[in-house]
Amino acid sequence: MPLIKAQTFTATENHASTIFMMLQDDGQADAVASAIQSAGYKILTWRDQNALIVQFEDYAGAFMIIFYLIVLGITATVVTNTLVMAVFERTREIGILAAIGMKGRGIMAQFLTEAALLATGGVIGGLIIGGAAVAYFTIYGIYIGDYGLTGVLFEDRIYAHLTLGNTINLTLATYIITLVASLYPARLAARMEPVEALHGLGD
Amino acid sequence: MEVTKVTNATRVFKIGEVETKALRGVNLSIGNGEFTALVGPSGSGKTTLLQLIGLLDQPTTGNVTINGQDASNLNRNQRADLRKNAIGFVFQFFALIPTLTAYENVEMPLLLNGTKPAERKARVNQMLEAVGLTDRAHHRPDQLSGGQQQRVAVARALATNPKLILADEPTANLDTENGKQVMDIMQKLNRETGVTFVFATHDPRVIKYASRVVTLQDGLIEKDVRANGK
Repeated sequence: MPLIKAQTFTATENHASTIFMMLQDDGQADAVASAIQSAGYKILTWRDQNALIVQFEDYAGAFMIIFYLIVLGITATVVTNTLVMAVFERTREIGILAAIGMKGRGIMAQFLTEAALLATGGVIGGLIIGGAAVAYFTIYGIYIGDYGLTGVLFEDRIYAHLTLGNTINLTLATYIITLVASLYPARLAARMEPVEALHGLGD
Repeated sequence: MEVTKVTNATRVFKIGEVETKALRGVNLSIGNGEFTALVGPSGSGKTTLLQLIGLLDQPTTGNVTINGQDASNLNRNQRADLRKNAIGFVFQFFALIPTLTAYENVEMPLLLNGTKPAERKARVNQMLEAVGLTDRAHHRPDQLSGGQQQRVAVARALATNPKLILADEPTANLDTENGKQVMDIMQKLNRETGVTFVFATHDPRVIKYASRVVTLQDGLIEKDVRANGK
């Protein structure tokens, strides 16, 4: 609504009680607030106006970290379990490799390489599926209802926002967690005595 | 010259409180180029002896030498190195890597000892030809018969040109014809290349190939007879 029409409508003549400033970058809110600070004006950033939402966002951030840890914990358990099963299924193969002269570190490297390939497959799959989901919600958003009626400055949809930092951090975390989780089964394979691994091949 | 020597070797397995003496003091010297059969009933200790000679296991007391090198004080990696360079194995259940082709199975020990690609390719082809499996090079073990799988195992055992091949019941899972083929190939390679073969068996058809028959009974050598009767 134009200012003059609003002043006529509210019978405030040449006065304005509130001026909203929209910034391109919400991270600059505090800096702009400081720059325009002067006597007679009360400057409120979007954080000051929406303290409840900011607090909720902080809680949500902490919750997401816990959620990431749970997901990575499940990933680690699945990787360890899968590779331990692989070690037991391939005990004879490990025995054969040891018999023909492969050293413990070679066997360990083999299992760690398999874990890295597993992680690569997971990350690529995750990026494709997750990327598609994020792309959809970036364009269409998620309908959350008309929050504007409650006095909170909110649209009726929230949109996904994928950052490069999040992508890199989670990719690296997945690799690290997978490799750490595969250390135990890899060591288990590397420490097998050839004769025990080959057990059952003779009388 | 002896390829391997076992001196006063004992091997005691302990399961819970029960001790089983698989070997009770074995002395055995195997010379270069011999084609030796270790025979005896199940539980006589022939597989255990083969595992000690192959450095897959260590004696409880006594020692084993390979090409004059005492293996008693070698660590895991040093034993793996000695196995890689000096010993080839043929097992009863073929023991091929199921996901690799015949060619790749034979290539595996050459990859482990760092043979250059061109030399590796030539050697693998040479070994597959020696066991008559050139046309099966790119088949996986599940696409080969038992006899063919065992011939691949023989080719793999010989790939790095070791001085000693140890075979544990190499024909136990083969029919007569395939068993004969495998033994003929092993004997032919022994005669042509001079590589030493030691194999554990209780199959009379296999024993007749041996130039020396060592009989074990209850963890001790009962008889040691050479083909010339000495």
